[in-house]
Amino acid sequence: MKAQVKANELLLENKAFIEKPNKQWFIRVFVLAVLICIGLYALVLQVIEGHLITGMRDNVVWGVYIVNFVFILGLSYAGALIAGVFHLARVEWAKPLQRILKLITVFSLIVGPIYILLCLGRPERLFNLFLYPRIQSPITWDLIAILTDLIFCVVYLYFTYIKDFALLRDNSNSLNLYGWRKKLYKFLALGYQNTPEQTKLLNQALDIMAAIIIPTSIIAYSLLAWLFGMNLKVGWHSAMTAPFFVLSAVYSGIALLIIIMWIYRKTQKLEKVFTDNHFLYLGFALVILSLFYGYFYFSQYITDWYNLQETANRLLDKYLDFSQYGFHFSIAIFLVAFLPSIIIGLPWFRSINSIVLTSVLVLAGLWVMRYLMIVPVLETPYLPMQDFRESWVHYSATWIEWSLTIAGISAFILFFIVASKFAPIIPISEMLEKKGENKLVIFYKTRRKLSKK
Amino acid sequence: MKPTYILSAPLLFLFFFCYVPTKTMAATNIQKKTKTRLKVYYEKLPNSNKKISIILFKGSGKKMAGIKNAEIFLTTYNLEEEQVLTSLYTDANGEATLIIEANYLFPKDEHGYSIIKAMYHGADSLKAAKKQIKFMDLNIDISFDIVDSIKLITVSTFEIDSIGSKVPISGVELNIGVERLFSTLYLSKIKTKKGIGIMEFPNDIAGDSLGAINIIVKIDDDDDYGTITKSAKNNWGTIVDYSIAPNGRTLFGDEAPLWMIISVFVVLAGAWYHFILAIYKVLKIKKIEQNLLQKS
Amino acid sequence: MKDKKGNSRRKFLSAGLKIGVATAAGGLAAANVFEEPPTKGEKIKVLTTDGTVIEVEKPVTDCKINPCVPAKGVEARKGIPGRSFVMVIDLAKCKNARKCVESCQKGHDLLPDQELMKVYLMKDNPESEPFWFPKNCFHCDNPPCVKVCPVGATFKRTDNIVLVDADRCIGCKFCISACPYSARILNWADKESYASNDPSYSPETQVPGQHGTVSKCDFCPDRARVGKLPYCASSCPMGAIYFGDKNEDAVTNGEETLRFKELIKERVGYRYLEELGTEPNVYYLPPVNRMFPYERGFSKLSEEQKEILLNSISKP
Repeated sequence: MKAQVKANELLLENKAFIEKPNKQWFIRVFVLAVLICIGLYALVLQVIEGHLITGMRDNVVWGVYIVNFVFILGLSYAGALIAGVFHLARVEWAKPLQRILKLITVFSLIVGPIYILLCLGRPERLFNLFLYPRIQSPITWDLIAILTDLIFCVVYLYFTYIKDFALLRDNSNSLNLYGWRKKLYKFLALGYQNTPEQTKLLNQALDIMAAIIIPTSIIAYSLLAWLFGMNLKVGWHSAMTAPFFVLSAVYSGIALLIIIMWIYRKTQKLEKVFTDNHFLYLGFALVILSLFYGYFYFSQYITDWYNLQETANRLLDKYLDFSQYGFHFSIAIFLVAFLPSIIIGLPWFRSINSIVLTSVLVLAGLWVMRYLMIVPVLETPYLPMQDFRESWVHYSATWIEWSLTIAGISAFILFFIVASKFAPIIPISEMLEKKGENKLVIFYKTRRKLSKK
Repeated sequence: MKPTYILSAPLLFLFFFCYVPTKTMAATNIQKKTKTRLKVYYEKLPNSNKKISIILFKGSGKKMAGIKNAEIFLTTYNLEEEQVLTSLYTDANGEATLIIEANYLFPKDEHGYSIIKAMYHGADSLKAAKKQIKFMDLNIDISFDIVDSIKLITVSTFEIDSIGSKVPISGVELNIGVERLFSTLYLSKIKTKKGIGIMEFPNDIAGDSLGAINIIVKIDDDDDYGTITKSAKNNWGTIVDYSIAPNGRTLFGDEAPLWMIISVFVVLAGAWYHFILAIYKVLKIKKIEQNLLQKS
Repeated sequence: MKDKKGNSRRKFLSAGLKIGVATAAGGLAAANVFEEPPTKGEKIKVLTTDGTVIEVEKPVTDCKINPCVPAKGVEARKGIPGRSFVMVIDLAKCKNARKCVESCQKGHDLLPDQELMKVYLMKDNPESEPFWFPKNCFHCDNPPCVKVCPVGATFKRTDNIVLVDADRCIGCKFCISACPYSARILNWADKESYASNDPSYSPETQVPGQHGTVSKCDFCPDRARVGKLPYCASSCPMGAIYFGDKNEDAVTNGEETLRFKELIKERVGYRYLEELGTEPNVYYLPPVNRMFPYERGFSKLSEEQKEILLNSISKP
């Protein structure tokens, strides 16, 4: 009961952020809506005039769109993976982060796949994927995986909201809310009354979901990686692809988590919830992941370096040639593989702001690394590119692609703004559960005794 | 001196004034007719019909262009007397074709030659043209023998004289080949001796699934005999297996390998079973609340 | 004959009507309204045994494979029974005349910058002489493009041909990136002659094309049905492209017909990037004993274009 009282207190303490929105909130939504509309205008142009107005051509058939697709879905799988592991391992300090992680998962799972639709020459024929499915194609795997993951993650997100919806329902009279919201909370809380029986059931469901989300996200992101790995292209056709993708995903997920945590700490004054320790722990995670990233990258490219195959050489030369991708490559690899160690790993530059700044730079660097993993490879086919049209040889994204990229990011932010208005950004009920109260239930009990007493 | 110049200037002017226009006018009146040319080919088809192909054209090389809708008169000579055969109209490419059925008795001269004369009478802007060819009506017979397991194609070339008996013709160059989808694959070139040519047929010529092939014997644009094609079928080809050997690990077929279907099914079934289990547990929460409400 | 006259009169009338409309509309150019009148030579005359002359219709096509019309729908996915199409390109004969590219574009209703057949300038090693390398789709026996298609819009047939069904293609471009030979293109720009789900469309002809779908060399099976070589092979002025049926062991460039196995054996024919294991059905004869110096192929190119080509092969 004590926890319940505390929860009510915490909710009322932060009630300003979920009550009726003010002017500032509407301005933010408006600005984002305008950015999304610009993207929609670009989309309409693309549909009417065809893909010729993008930078994509016969060699670089996938451009910024697929980079965004891979990058954003990476964030999603990272969110699910980290949330699931933290939940099952009952990591106490990570409890306040759970909601942000799950929101990242769901929102990027909604935004990400839009970019693959933008890549399609005939998006209106998408139903052919269900009419004539071929399991041999990595795209079919991907479709199944993304759909499964989206359903699982949306349901999981909802499950984690149930306790808080019940809290909101019980406190709705002391909050300044629209009437429809009160009704909605009552409906969504599913009659959760915090009875021990109900709590046990819900906790079991949450454990099951966390357990299935972890393998689903790993499999789904590996399948996405095999979209490239199953290709005969030099630079993609590597067994490294899937593990490397999963690692980069977790890395980018942690970086984004730090940024979003910082934004809510600043705007909603959650210093007591998102403590300095959170930044420190996640910052160290960033350092470790950056070292892993460096290790993976090094082992991939040192093998390529020793490889003398002509096309592989041509590709490697592009990364090292400063008139081509040399600058992008050296800056991006510095950001993702070395910067966290220097800024966070060493004691002299370490601070909340520097950790956040590093996260921003790492996120940008990881996006560029994705770009470098996709575009130069497509620009390096086995046959020489003997086209007299410059745009056919070298890819450069047009404003259509950039504005749709910005629209996607805006939509992601907008989802967060609306979601954090609808319910607290921190899982209040879950946070206040006592340590050891929520024990892990083992479903498949061992039939024999594991050890003789 | 000076006055003469002064006088001659207007005279000269007058001269050019009159002369130049009359010259251009004359050019339009007496238009120069374009030269035309005729080409006539004689061909004997596999069914022994004779085919006369005619092309009427102007210009040469890249500027060569057929003349369409022109009437071409065909005549032949029957014992020094010119005999009209028919007239033909050229098509869009300037080409015209006449088929002469095998049993039509085409007149011959004393040396055994038949003559075809094609004439074009010209038009407003086109000159007349004529062309005459002569050909000898040669017949080809093909027979197959296997002697000591060697496959032999025997080709006999002969002419049928006025009383209907075969007269062997020697020294005819023949191309022997097999019919293929796009063209004839020529295997050998032989010359008949005493009206007979023999060719040894190789053992490694691909046939169809039964080994059937179509042997083609052809005389190509000969001065005396024109073009003659004759064909005969047999089953001397090698038997080709049309079934495709499946490659076990390929993935391009319509059906996915079984292991892939099983793994997808197992992974999905495992995930969805637990998912439904979790949903079931959450839906129970609602029931518990209803029970609570009923109790109170 | 009567029928024909009536027909032409109707045509004349309709032409007159059109002119009337055109002049009424205000002196529009009426000259192109006239239709080409049919020539009189559309029929063949036959001199029969008894000396009379009759007229018969000209045989329209030289039907070699039944049915003679391009296959559509499910039939198009099966392939012509008993055929195994194969191409042999003699690199010693190619001088970049680009007639293959142009006739293919014309035959498949492509834009001038869409090339299903491309001619590359290649060089095997720094010491060797460059050579021209015409490259279409290799119609691999183990096609990496077909593997990755999510909807089965591209398929391998029993006659070796790999085709695209543009009515089913979703334009995901996975096959384009999966092809190691850069053989596939997308119809990036829309065109007036394009039409989706057109009843006359056949994957064998790829006409009419469709916007946003993948296109590729189709080995022209529609032409094979009437005994014609593909556009590229029949238009090459040098006779560099041989085409035929591997089951028949014969390839032809229209002028000469050679035995396929003997040709590959004697001229040491090879397949490009054999090591990838795609098992192509296009063979190349090495550019030895050339008929021309490779510089002859630059005649139609600007200095700038020439430089681009030479640069792309100078640093392999």
